[in-house]
Amino acid sequence: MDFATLSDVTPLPQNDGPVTPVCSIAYTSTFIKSFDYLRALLKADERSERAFDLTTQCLKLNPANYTVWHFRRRCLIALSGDGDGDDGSGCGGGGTIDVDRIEKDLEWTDNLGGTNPKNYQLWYHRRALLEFRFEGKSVRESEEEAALLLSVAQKELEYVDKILEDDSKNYHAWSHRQWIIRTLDNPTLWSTEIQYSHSKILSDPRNNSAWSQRWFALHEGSTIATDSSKTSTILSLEKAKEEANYALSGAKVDPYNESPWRYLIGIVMEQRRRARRAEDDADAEHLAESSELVRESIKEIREMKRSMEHPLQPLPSEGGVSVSLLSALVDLLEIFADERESSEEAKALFGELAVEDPVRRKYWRRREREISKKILLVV
Amino acid sequence: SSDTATGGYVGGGFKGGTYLGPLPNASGVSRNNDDENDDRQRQQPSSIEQLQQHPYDHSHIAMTYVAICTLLALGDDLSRIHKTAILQTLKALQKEDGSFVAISSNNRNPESATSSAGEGEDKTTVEEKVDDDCDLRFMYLTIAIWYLLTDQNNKSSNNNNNDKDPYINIQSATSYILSCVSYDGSIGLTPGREGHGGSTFCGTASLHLLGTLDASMARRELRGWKEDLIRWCVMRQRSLPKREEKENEEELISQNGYYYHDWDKYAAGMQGRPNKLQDTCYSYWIGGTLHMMNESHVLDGWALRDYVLTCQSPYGGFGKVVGANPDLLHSFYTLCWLAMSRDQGCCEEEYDDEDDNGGGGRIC
Repeated sequence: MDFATLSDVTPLPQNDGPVTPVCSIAYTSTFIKSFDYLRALLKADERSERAFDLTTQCLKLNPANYTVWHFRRRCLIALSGDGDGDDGSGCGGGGTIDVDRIEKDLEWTDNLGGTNPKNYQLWYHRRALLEFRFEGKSVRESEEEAALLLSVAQKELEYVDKILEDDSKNYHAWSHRQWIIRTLDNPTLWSTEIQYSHSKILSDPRNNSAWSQRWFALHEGSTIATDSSKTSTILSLEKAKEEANYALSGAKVDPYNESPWRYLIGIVMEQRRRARRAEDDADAEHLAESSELVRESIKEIREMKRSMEHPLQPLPSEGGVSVSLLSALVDLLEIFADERESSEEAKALFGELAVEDPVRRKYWRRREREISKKILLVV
Repeated sequence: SSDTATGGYVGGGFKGGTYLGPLPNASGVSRNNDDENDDRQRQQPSSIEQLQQHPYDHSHIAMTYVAICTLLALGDDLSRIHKTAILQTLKALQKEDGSFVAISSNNRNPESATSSAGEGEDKTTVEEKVDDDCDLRFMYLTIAIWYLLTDQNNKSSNNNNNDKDPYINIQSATSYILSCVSYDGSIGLTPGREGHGGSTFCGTASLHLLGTLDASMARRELRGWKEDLIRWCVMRQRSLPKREEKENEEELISQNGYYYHDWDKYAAGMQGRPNKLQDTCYSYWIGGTLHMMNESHVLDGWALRDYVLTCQSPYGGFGKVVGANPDLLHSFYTLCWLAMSRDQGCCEEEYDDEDDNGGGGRIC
């Protein structure tokens, strides 16, 4: 940073209070100098090339300062084609950022992000830049534009994939993918994301983020409590069966892995809830179909449990029962809590869990007590 | 039109620092230009000055939250802060989908933040269109501020959906939080995202403070959610080995009637998400979530205590994991949880949950 360009500026120091500050940060002299100049430019609201360069300097020193990022974006707008730096509003409705500046800043942010893949402001900045890139193009005027947008999105998704290669569970990275896909809402992207999640699950079935992303992609971003106007994204029973099988296959790879089990329960419960969604009368047909799905799943899980207990079957390296398997089994059995056999089986499993999973013994015992009460009522 | 009857404050709150000079005044009041001639302004105490508008001289919800909590911790009665300005600002921060943005800018048109459909030109800034700065972290900050400044503690604990709060739309805030519930019972930071300990806490805490937690859990489309949430939280604690059958009873030291286990043999910390590592701060995010629901007794409190204590630094304070250097964040949250661990049978073997009404819902 060439501070000579700022020779006419009076630096503005930080004010840490009138008395000796408590726990003051030990800033370097470069840090103090850079930020003293930045504060002066902020106060003057000078959106210029040198201000932009100063934000580069300051962000290298502290990439988490949201004010500096905000100012940087305002500079970018002001320096772009029709920048409206003069009226002081800087609202997105007025200005935009030139495409080449967007490209450059995305690259620069990438370089900065090298050691900071979990920095909120970095990811936010990428979204803010891309928001400009995608802006006003939600109504696709031409196929050409749609294709261009799609390629921009895919390029960004490739970038995220690169990040995920280093840390496959980076929360920001996964949600950045979600933002891109939601924003464009292009059917191609929704379906390729299913594939992407699958590839991530294959490379690490214990990656809970990948399972979560699969759900996201299949449901096109809607969630269990989203407005009923989006009920069309609830999976069909056929699809639910497919996904249940997918989950069970994942569980068979590693029965101790919690992720596929919870995915399975999520799929099943979605069908159950859908059947009960309309008024007080459950949709009888859906209810019956979803019950069948539950029973099929219970059967498969019992089979898995038996095969794990078989003395000749080499047990997976962790040894012992799978808490996640048993936990999924009891959750399914409790759906039929009004059937004596199911509750008794569940009760016995809670007893087993209290022994096999000692850290959660109080929890399992509590559930055992609760189901015992239900059994008494059923008699 | 803006709410001129209430003065239409949009910039109330606290900012991070004072380097931009003495503006605004100590109580952090900012004004909408339209209100210059409003009679009520002249009725305000004379210590409140008319402000110059400055694009970077704005409050931030996180700063406001920290300032209020710090003042309370220091024993201040908050009489010197302009509560009305802050509360009205919360109204300006709320988006149509119920979430809250973090920054109240002097330049933002308050109408654009709260207008319903059909008001014409969208004046919202680009930042508002993006889903950051309106995630559940900011929901929690906002609701906590609202709770503290409107003294909700002393109001009826049941927030009837029909009661219209003058500052926040409780119903849409609730809906937004619920749209973040994930298929496994946890809560993500924004709708569709993977559930995570931090966001689960923020979501649950917000609902709890809003008074809509119980009603939410009774909703048809969320049938079973309470049980799922509890189970998800409980599953975040690391597994322990079964106790050896012939364990020497004398190895267990009895303290106050509780058995004290080997120091780290039976330590079990909390993870933030399935298949991830334990980290001391999740003792608060997860433990706190359960505590709010009066469900702490399902945890193995002793094992969790043992874990966090192994993360205590010889210099004092707590680190993220065993052997990590201590930092303020982990120290703070670990201490918060340790304080909570005394309640609700968290560290007791047998606990009659029907007897206990105390402890739940205490705000740190």
